[in-house]
Amino acid sequence: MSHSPSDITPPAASHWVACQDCDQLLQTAVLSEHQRARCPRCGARLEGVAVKSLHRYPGLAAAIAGLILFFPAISLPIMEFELIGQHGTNTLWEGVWTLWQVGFPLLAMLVLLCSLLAPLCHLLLSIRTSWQLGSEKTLPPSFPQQLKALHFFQHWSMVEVYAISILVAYIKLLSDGEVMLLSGSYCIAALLICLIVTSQQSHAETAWQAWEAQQKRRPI
Amino acid sequence: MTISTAQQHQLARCEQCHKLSLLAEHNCPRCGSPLSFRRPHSLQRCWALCLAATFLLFPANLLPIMTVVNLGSGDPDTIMSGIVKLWINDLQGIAIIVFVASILVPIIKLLALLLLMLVVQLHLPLHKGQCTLLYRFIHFVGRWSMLDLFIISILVTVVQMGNIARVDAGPAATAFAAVVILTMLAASYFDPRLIWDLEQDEDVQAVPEQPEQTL
Ligand SMILES: [Zn+2]
Ligand SMILES: [Zn+2]
Repeated sequence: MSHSPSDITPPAASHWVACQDCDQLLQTAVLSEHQRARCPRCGARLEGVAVKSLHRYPGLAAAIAGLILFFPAISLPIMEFELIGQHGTNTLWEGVWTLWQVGFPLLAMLVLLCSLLAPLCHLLLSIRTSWQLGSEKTLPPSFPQQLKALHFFQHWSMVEVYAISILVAYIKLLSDGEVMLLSGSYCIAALLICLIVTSQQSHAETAWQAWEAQQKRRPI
Repeated sequence: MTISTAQQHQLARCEQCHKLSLLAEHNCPRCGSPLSFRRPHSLQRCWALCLAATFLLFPANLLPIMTVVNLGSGDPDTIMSGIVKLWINDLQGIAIIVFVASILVPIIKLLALLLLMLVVQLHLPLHKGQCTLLYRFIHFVGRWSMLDLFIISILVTVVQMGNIARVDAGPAATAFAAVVILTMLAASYFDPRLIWDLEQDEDVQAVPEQPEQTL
């Protein structure tokens, strides 16, 4: 998919990308879905290559499904632990709140960001972006900030790590008493699938090119 | 394959939107972010964050991270003693997962970043492709250090039965959270392109008869 520049004349920047890991200048074609462009020099999967996405709806549908699942995922009990007649449950939100209450504000805020805030903002911004790209209206001036925020929250969303943490905590508690996985953990698993599909279906470069095309039409 | 980097053509890659533009434009015409050939102050920032993270590794590993109170009594556990207890209680699989996520990953991350920074600064002749692979690996693996912190957040909430059974978080948890944040930031400040820039320096040195260009 990529060719090295044959001559040394400075290329027109728009049809070229630079590898994020080694700065190799490469010419790329627009990829179809399921195609990958790799850097011939260092083997990186190139970022910033336009992908011709045929379907906007799988990504949007996954993000909306994720948003619907988000509220049960944070508020339904994840597991129940029982010992000598006493039992306790937890939810995702209570995990943050308890840490805050027992005097661990930094830890509480980090868990809040990675398990709650980042996935929520990732879903909301994905929906907004898909919606704006799909509609005929002009993109708002805050569109670049929105795409940057989307990337930030996608990076800090760690629901997959949280899902494994639930499993580890569950196995750990099995040896101490009665423990059961409850509905919240299934919601988190489903939310995780929605987040993965949303990430895979979002093509940042396509969104950036839409913004660029609009700017060229109406220079500010 | 001809090696021709964007920098050689005065093109800077936008860190935010990945567009190539001439550095002379200062700000990315597409998203407005400031342009530079390489991440600014990459090595200084990475060194500072790695040093801070290394210092915090000591409280994170020496102070208690969690206390399991069972029927009124409980010993505070450090990360390592918690892992040993899991191993003794026949939970070897879990012990290995927690060991990898909480001890191995932060230490390997710091050592790998240290190695990569030394490669760039001392021009160590290591294989550049493998260094880049190492960089991608630490970038990918960093988030998994959050595992232990999430487990603490789950256990502290679910096991709250007064004196019968209770899990309390310890001061090492905050130190460990800081280590996770600092190492993730350090990995994102390090610029892997600096490794490949060494190759051009070597090429220039290898061909001394190259005519000097005067402006
Ligand atoms: Zn490359
Ligand atoms: Zn940009």
